[in-house]
Amino acid sequence: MIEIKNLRKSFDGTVDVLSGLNCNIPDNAIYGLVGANGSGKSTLLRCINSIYKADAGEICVDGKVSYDNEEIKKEMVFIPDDLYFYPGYSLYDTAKFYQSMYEKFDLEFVFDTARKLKLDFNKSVNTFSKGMRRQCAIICALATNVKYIFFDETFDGIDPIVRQYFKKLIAKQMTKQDTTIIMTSHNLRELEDICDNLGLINDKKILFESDVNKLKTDMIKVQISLKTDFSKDTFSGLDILYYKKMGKVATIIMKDNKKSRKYLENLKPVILDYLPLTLEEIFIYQMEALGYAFEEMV
Amino acid sequence: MRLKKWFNFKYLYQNLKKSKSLLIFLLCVIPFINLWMVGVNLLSKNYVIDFYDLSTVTSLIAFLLPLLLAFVLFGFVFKKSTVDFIMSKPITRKQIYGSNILGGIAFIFIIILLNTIGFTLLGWLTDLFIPAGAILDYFIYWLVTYIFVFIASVIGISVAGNIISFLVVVALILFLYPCFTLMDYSLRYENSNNVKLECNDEACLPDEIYCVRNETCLANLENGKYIYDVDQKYDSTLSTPVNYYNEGFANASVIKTIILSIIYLIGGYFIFKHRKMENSEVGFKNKYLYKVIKLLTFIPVTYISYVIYSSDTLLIFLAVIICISYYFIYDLIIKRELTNILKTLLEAILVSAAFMLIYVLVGFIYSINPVTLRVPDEITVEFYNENTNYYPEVVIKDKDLINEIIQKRDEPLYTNITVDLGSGYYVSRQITEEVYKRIMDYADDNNLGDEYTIDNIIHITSSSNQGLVIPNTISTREMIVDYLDSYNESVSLASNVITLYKYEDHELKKLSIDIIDDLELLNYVKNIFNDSFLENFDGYIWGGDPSLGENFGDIIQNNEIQFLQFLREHKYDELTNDVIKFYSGVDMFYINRSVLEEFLVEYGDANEEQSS
Repeated sequence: MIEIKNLRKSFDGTVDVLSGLNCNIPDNAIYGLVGANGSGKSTLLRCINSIYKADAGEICVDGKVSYDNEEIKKEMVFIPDDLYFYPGYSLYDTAKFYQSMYEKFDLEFVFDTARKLKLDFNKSVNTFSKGMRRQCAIICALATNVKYIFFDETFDGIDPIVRQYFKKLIAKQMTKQDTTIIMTSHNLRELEDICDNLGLINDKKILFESDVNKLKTDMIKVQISLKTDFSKDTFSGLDILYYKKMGKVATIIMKDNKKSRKYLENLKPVILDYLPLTLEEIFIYQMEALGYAFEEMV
Repeated sequence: MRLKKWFNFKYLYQNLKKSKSLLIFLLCVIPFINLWMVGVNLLSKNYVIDFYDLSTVTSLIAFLLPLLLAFVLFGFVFKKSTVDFIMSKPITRKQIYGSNILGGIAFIFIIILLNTIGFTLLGWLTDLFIPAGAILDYFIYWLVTYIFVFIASVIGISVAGNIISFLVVVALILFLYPCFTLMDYSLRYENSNNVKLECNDEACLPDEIYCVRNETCLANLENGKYIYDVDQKYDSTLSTPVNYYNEGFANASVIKTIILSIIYLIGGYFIFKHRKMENSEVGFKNKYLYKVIKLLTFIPVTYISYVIYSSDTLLIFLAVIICISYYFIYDLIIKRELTNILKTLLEAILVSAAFMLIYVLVGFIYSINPVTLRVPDEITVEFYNENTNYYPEVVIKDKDLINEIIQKRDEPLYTNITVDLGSGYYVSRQITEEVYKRIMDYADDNNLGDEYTIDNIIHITSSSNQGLVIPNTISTREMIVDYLDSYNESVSLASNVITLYKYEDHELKKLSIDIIDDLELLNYVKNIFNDSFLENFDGYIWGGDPSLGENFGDIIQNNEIQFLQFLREHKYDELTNDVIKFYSGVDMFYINRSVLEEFLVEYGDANEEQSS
C-alpha cells in the first residue's frame, strides 16, 4: 500500500506544485489519477518513484519510507509520459537492460507480446513510431513483475485496438501478480473501463478519491416525469446530488438505495428510468457537490 | 554487501554500453595518436624522449576527455526523459554516483595504461629511448590529473542543469583558483616596486655603494642597509594541469591533486545525492546559485576590464562595455532570455564598480606593504654554459659566493644569470668572469659531474656523431664515472662529446662531456663508431685530410677493396689524439693518422708506379 501524507513539492522554492497532498493507494488495485494538464500528476508519480525529492511530507510504501530506498524501488517500475530509450537499443536490448535491473523480469513475456503486436525485436526502438515506442515501454514494464507499476499518460499515442489489448494485459497482470497499477490521464474516459480506484488531483492536492464500483453503485441517474407539475422540492425526501428539469422531464442524480427508489415509485411517475452513470458524470456531480466546476478541472 | 550499497555493476555496464561506440573510438584513437606523435621523433635519429614528449597529446585533451567521460556517464541529469528513465530504476543515488565514478576512473585508468604500454613497446621495438622513469611519471601524473578533472566535471554536472551551465561550473572549479593566483600576481607585479632584497652583509653591498654622488645608490641605502629591487616571477603552485607547462611533474602537485580529488569526490557525492533532479534543461533553477555563479564568472571579466582601464584611462569606455555586455550575454546564454533590462544594467554597473574598487584597494594594499627579503642561505643560479651549450641550474649554499652573486658590480661584466631567491622571487644579475669561474668551480666541486653515477646513467649517446647510441653497459658507465671524477667542467666541448642521460626528480637531465682527455674511453667510443661504419658501409668514402696528399681520394677509390680490408684489420687500433675521420654518408670511421699513412705509402706508391 502506498500512503502519502502532507506531501509538498515546489520547483523553484516559491510556488508549490503539490501542497499538503494526502493519498492512499490500496494494494492490488488499478488506481487512476486524473487531473488537468499541469495539475501535478506526473510530479506526484516522480516523487513516489524517488525521481524528485519531496520538500515536505512522507511517502510510505508497504510501511517504509520510499525515497531512494533500493528495496522498495525493486518493486516499482515507472513509465513516464516522455519516453526514453538508450540510443541504438532494440527492444531486445531494452528488455535485457530491464532484466538486469529487475530480478523477476520475464523475457519470454516480452518475446510473446512483441510477436503478437508485430514489433520488430531487433530494430532500434528510437526508429519506431510514438505509439510503438510506448508499446515497448509498457511491455517491458509489465514484464518486470513488480508490485507497483506507474504509467504516466498510459495510452498516449496508442491506437484503440492495441489500447484495448493493453488494458486486458494490465488487468491480467493485476490479478496474476497482485500488482498495483497507478495510471494517470487527463482524460477520464480513458481510465473508466480499467480503473477500480480513482483520485482527482487539483489545486495541488488530491481532491477526491474513491472506489469506482462503490461510486457507481452508490449513485444512480434517474429520468422522471410526473402527471402533475413538480419541482426539486417534490423530491425533498431524497439525497439529491444533481437536479435538472427540461420540459416535463427531470434528470436527477441521487444516492441509490431501496428507500429512495420506493420514494420515487410512490410518486406514481409517468416516466421513471434508472440509467447507469458514466465515471465522468459521477466525477462531475461529486465535484459539483463539493463546490467545484469539474469541467474547468479536467 | 557493503560494496553493493555503492556500486551496481549491471547499471554501470549498461551505462557504458549505451556509449560503447564513442568509448571504443576513444580507446583506439587516443593511444594511436599518442604513439604516432611520439613516434614522429623516430625521424630524428636517436632522439631521447622525456616526460613532455610523452605528454603532448595527453595534455591537449586533459580537459576534453574527462569532461566528455563525465558527460557520458552523468549527462542523463540534463534531460527530463533520461532523468525519469534512470532515476526510476531500482538503483539508489549512492549507487549511481559510485558506479559512474568507478566506471569513469576505470576508463581513465585503461586509456592511460594503454598509452603507457604503447610507449613502453615503442621504446622496446624502435630506436627511441624512452626512460622508464618518464613512462612511470606519465602514468601517475596523467592518471591523477585526468581523474581530478573527471571528478571536478562530475561536480559541475551535479550542480548545473544543462550543458552550458555545466561547462561554466567546471571552468570555475578548474580555473577560478588559477585565475585568482594570476590576478594576485598581476596586482603584486603592478605594485612590485616594493618587493625588496635587503642586504645586511657588507659582502653583498654593491660596488657603487661608495659612489656618494650616485643618486640611485643613495636612494637604495636605507638605515645602513642596502636595498635591491627584486624581479618578481609568477610562482604557480596550482594543483591543476593549468600549471603543467610551468612546473611539469612535481610530487607536491600530484599529492595536492590527489587530496583535492578526494575532497571533490566526497563533496560531489553530497551534491549529487541532494541534487534536485527537476533542475534539468534549465541552467540553474536556484536563483541564488545562478547569481553566485554569475558573480564568480564575472570576476575575471571585471579584472580584464580593470587591466584595460589601468593600461590607458581613455579605455574606460571599452572596460565598461565589456563588463555590461558580459552581464547580458551571460543571461542570454544560461537563461536564454533577458529580463528587466534596466535592473540588469544597473546591477552590472554597480557590481563592476564594486569589483574594480576591490582591485584598486588590493593594489593599494600591496603598494603600501613592501615585501622585504633577506639574502637567503640557498640560491639557485641559472646561466648559460657556453661549454656545455645549455642552461644548468646550480644550487649554491656558499654564503660568500651567494653574496658575491647578489652584489651589483661596476667591473667589466661577463654574463647574465638569474638568481632564484625562493618563494617565487628572482633577481637578474650580470656577473664578472671571476664570479662565473667561481660558480663553475662550485658546480664542479658540488654539482654536475658528481650527480652522474653508475646507477643513474640510463643512456649514453655521442652528440658529435649523430647521436650514435653507446651501449650502456656497466663497464662503460664505470669508465665514464671514473673519467667524471677528474673531469673539468671548463673543458670546452670540441668534437669528442658524449652525452649522459639520467632521469631524476621526474625530469630528463643530460650532461655533455668531451672525452678527449681519456684515451681509453675515446678508443672505446670511436671503435663503436667504427663498427657501426663498417656495418653500414655503402661503398663510397669521401673526405679526408688534405695534408695526406691531393690524390688521397683517388688512392682510396682505386684500392677500395684493399682499403676496406685495411679498415677492418685496423678498426680496433688504439687512437691517439691524431685521428683521421672518414665519411660514408652520415657514418664515420676513425683511424690513427700514422697507421693510415703507412697504408697510403704502400698503396699510394703502387698507384704512382702504375701510372708512371
